[in-house]
Amino acid sequence: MKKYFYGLGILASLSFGLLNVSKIQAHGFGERYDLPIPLGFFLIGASLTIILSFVVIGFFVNYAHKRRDFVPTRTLVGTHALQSTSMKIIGALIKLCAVSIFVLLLATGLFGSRNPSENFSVIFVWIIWWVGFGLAIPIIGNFWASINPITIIFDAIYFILSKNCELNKRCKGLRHKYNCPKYSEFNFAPYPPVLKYWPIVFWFLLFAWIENSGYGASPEDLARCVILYTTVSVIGMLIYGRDIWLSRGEVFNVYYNIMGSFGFLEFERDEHGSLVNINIRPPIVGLLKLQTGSISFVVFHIILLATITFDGLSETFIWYEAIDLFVPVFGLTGLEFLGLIFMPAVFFLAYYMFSWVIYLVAGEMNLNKILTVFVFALTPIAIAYHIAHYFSYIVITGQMIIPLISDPFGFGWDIFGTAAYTTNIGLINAKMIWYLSVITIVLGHVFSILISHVKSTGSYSKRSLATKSQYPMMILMVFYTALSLWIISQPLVER
Amino acid sequence: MRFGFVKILSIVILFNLIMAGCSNSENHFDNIDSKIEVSVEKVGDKLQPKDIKVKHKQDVTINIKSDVDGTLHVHGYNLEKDLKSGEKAEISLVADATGRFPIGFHVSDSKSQDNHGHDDDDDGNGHEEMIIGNFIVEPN
Repeated sequence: MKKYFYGLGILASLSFGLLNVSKIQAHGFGERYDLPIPLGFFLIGASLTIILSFVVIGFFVNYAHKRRDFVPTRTLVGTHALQSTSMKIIGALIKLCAVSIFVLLLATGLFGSRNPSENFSVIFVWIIWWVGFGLAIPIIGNFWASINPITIIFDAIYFILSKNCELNKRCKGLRHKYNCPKYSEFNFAPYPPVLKYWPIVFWFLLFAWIENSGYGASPEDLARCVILYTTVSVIGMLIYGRDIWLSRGEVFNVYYNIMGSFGFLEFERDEHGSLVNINIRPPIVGLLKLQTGSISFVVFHIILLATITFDGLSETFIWYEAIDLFVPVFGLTGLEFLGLIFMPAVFFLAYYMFSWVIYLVAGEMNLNKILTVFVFALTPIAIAYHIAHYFSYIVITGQMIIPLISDPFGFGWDIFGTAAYTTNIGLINAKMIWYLSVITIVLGHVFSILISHVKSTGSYSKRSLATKSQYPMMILMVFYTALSLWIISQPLVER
Repeated sequence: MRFGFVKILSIVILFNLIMAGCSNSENHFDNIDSKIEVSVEKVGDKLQPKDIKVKHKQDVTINIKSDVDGTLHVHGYNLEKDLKSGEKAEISLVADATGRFPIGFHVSDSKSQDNHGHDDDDDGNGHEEMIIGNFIVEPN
C-alpha cells in the first residue's frame, strides 16, 4: 500500500510543479480570420441534420439488424513486411525524427526568442501538433502511438536499465518457462484501482486550461510544461507499468487512440505495443471496436467533447459577455477555469439525463452500462466539430511553421531559405469554409447515429428495444449538432 | 405515425428553406462595384464605424483620420500606415482574401494607456497595440 502513496506523491508533486507558470497573453500567435457561417447555412445544416436522422434511422430499422458485424479490414502492410530490415530502418528513422523534433521544441522553447510567433515550440505544439495532428489522426488513423516521443524515451530508458539488470536478463531467458511479466507490464507497484481513469481527466482539464487561458503561449513555460509532463509520464510508466500508465495516465495516448479509431488505417499492435499490421478499413468503423466499462472514462470522453466545444465558444461574443459579467466576481483565470468545468458538467448532465431516458424507455441494461456503451457514439460529432472549427486555422495559420523551419529559434537564421515566407491568407475562401463546416458537422451527426445504432444492436437482446433506445439518443445528437452549428455561426471576437 | 413524420419533415424543410432563402437574398449582391471607397475615423479606442465591410476582389480605398499620432495595422493583410493626429491618410488595397481581419493601432506616445492592449507585436519599443476595428471581406 505504501508503494501506491510514494508513487502518487512523486506524481502529485511533479504535477503541481506544472502549475507554477507565469501568466502570458495567448494572443500573438495563431490569429483566426474566419467569418462565422451565415444564418442560411446554419438553417440548411440544421434541416439536413433532422432529415438525415430520419433517413439513417429508417435504414437501420430495415437493414442494419441483418448484419451486425460490418467491420471489414484488409491488411495493407503485414507482419512479415514490418519485420523486414528495410521497414525496421524506416521505423527507426521515423522515431529518430520524432525525438529530434521533440528535442528541438524543448531547445527552442528554453533558449529561443520570447516572441511566440518567432518560436518553433509554440507554433509547433499548438498549431501543428494539437490542431494539425488532431485533424490528421481522425482521418488517417492513430499513427501517434508509433511516434509518441514519451514512449520512445521510456523504451530507450528501459532498454538501458534492463541491459544492466541481471534479474531481467535471467527473466528474459526464462520468461516463457516461468511466465515472467513482459516489459510492457513490468512495474514496481500495482496501479491503484481507485484511480481508474481519473489521471487522464486531470491532465486533460489542466491541458485545456493551459490552452484556453493562454499560459502555453510563452515558449519557456510551454517547454517547462512539456518536460514536466514527459517526466511524470515516464515515472508513471516505470512505477505502474508501461501499458497501464499509457491507457490511464498518458492523456494524449488515450485521446489519439479515440480520435484515431475514426481513421481509415488501423495500426494493429501486439501485447508488447509493437506494430504488427497496418490494416485498411472503412473510416468510422474503428469506433465500434472501442469499449469501456468505467464511468471515469465516460467523464473523460465527455470532457473531451465539451472542451473542444468550449474552445469555439470562448472566441464568440457570448463568452465575452460572460467575461464582462463574471470577471468582477471570479477573476479572469477563475472564470476560464469555471468555464472548463461548467461546460463538461452541462454536457455530462445532458448525457446522463438522456441515458436515463433510454433506461426508462428500453430497460434491460442498467444506467451505468448505457452510459458506457453509447459514449463513443458522440465521438464523430466531436471530430466533425474539430474539423469545422480548425480547418481554416491549420490552412492559414499553419503556414507560420514554414519560416520557422528555417529559423526555429527566432535568431534570424535562414537554413532552408524559407525564413522570409509570409502567410498566404487567400489560400482558402470563406464560402468554401462555410460549406465544409456544415457538410462536416452534418456528416459527423450521421456517423454518430450510425455508431449509436450498431452499438445498440450489439447490446440489446431484442431488435425492438435497440430501436426504442435510439430515439432519445438521436434527440441528444440533434441537440449537440445544432449547438456545434450555432457556435460556428456566432460572431467572433479577437482574443 | 409515418404521416406524422412526413408532416413534421415537410414543415421543417419548408420553414428552413424559406429562412435560408431570405437570409441569402439579404447577402446577395448582383452588381458589385469593383471599386469601393470607405471613410473611417479613429476616435478614442475605436474606429467609427468599427467594421469596414467590403466584398471579395474589390479595389478598396480607406480614407482614415486619427485623433492621435500612431501606426495603423491591418492584420492578415499586414498593411501598416503612419497616421498624424487630425490629418487624413489613405490606404489602398485589393481585397483578395476573405475573412475578418482585426485593425490594430500603435500609439506613438509611449505614455498612452489603453485597456484593450495586447503584446502581439513585440516591436521592441514597448508600444502596445489596441484593436480598434475589423476589416471584413465577405465572399461574393
